[in-house]
Amino acid sequence: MSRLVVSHLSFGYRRRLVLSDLSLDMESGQLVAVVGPNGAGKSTLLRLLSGWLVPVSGQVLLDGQEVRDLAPAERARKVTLVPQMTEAAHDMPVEELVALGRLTRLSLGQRLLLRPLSDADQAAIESALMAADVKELAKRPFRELSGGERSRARLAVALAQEASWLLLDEPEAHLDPGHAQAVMVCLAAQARAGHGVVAAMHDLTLAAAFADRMALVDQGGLVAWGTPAEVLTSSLVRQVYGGQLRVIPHPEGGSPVVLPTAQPSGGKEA
Amino acid sequence: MTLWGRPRQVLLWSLLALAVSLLVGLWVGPTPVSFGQLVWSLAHPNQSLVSVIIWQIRAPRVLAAALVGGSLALAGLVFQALLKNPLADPYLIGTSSGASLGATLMLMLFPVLAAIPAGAFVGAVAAVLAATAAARRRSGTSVVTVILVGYALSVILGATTALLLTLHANDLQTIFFWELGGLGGVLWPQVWELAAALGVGSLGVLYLHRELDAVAIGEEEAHALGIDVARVRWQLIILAGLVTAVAVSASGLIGFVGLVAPHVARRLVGSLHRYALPVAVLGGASFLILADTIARSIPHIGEIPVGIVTALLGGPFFIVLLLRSTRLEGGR
Repeated sequence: MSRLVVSHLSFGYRRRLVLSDLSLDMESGQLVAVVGPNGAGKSTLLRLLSGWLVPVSGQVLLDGQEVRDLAPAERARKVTLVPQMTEAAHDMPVEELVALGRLTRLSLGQRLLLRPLSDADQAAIESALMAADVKELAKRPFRELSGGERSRARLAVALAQEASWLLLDEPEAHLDPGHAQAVMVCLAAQARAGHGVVAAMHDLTLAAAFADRMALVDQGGLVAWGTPAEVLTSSLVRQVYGGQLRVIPHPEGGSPVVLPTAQPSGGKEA
Repeated sequence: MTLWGRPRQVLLWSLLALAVSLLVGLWVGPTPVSFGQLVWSLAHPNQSLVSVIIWQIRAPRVLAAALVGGSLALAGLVFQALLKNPLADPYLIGTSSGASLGATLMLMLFPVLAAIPAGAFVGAVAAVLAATAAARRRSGTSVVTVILVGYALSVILGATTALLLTLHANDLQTIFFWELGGLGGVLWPQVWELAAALGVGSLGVLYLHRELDAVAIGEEEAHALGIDVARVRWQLIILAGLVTAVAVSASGLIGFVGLVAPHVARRLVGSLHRYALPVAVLGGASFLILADTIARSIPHIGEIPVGIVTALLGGPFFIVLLLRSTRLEGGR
């Protein structure tokens, strides 16, 4: 089991603090959803966890080691990040993209194209393609894929890395409900298999349905941490997101479901 | 579109194109040589006039054209990936002018022939750093802004070089050579220098080809894949600076080869650097051999700087790409 501990983490650009004094203690084998309104600091938190950003103060400890201090190749085997998807698209075939996940393990001969990828690398690529359900897209250029296919292909790259921690920034963005559900099923399976999975999400209902633990972040600070049912209470949701949101239990399983209401001032809870 | 099989096919055609270009370059010249004579003197070097012309005058020049063309294409390919800018070219973003200023300064301060490429190298790397700093100042800096800043940089560095040369030697001929680029008078030692630089550059970039793929996708993605982005960026700048410096020391400022060759290569084999790299280098080599052959075959004039030919061929290509990229800007 692996632990990812965030202690008293602060980060800011110039004088504006984006995260202030945030602490979290996460265990592998669980799916953690980080939720919060736009600009709450979710993406910044993931970037700090991946070692891409340097905190102003505080620590990110992966099994007791500061993530920033790990050598890049070693870090890539422990933690990887799938950033938010951008518009820019390239024409790399999916399987070549996924092969990039094995980049730090290549030998000199493989880098200079004198030797093929090792069997272990091939196997990892193959199983990543299967797990993210992009096997039949392997030869297709990334540019030609639909939004949902792109999102799964990017997930496959991270899976090929076989890192113990998987960080994802809005894995459900741009996906229709079916595809969003499929991605979450895949992430939950990764968590069951023993990986640590941390996903920043906007869709509270989807997050609540799959997450084992949930962190609610607002204005750079941690507002609540616990099971989805503990975190997504009506009062907290309204406090953080404002508006007239309602929270009801899911008819199957009872996880919180967040509902918008159309009435401008009504919507009192029964 | 099938990507498998096709890159290998394109690679073979590029090799064939290079072989044909080399033969054409050796064949064409002020002294008429029949094709039979050419093949005979290539196979049997001797002291005859034709053999001397081919081996001592045309061969070093044609090979230098190939190596300079390959070097500029390699540098262009690296800059385009590094700056995530399809319009980057060592000439357009000021790297060549930086190399030229460095070489000129070295020529004045330490007039040792071997020191010139070293000065060019320092100048090239400094110019790349200036251009990339402009590109990275803000995440939202547009493709065209970077090119404009790079081009302004190139003009400033070029003017400084011209000023130094005017003050120092009042040598307009030399200025003309630097500014427009030319391959006249290249000898075998320079060919070896160019070959060594391009060899090191190509091997280095090949070693880093997957890093280049990853960085072209995004730096945050590259970091997540376990790449030390800052270090790889430095390594690539040094490799591209090296090939640009040696090319500029041998031939002055030749534009647009580094723009056209990588573009055509990516169009043919896609942007995977494993394929785009050899195709761009071979294509750049063939392109410059043919441009140089045209430059020295203008009737009644004798020879014009090859930079004029590449600018006339590559300039319109650049304008088309520029218009297309400004149209796409909204989506980026």
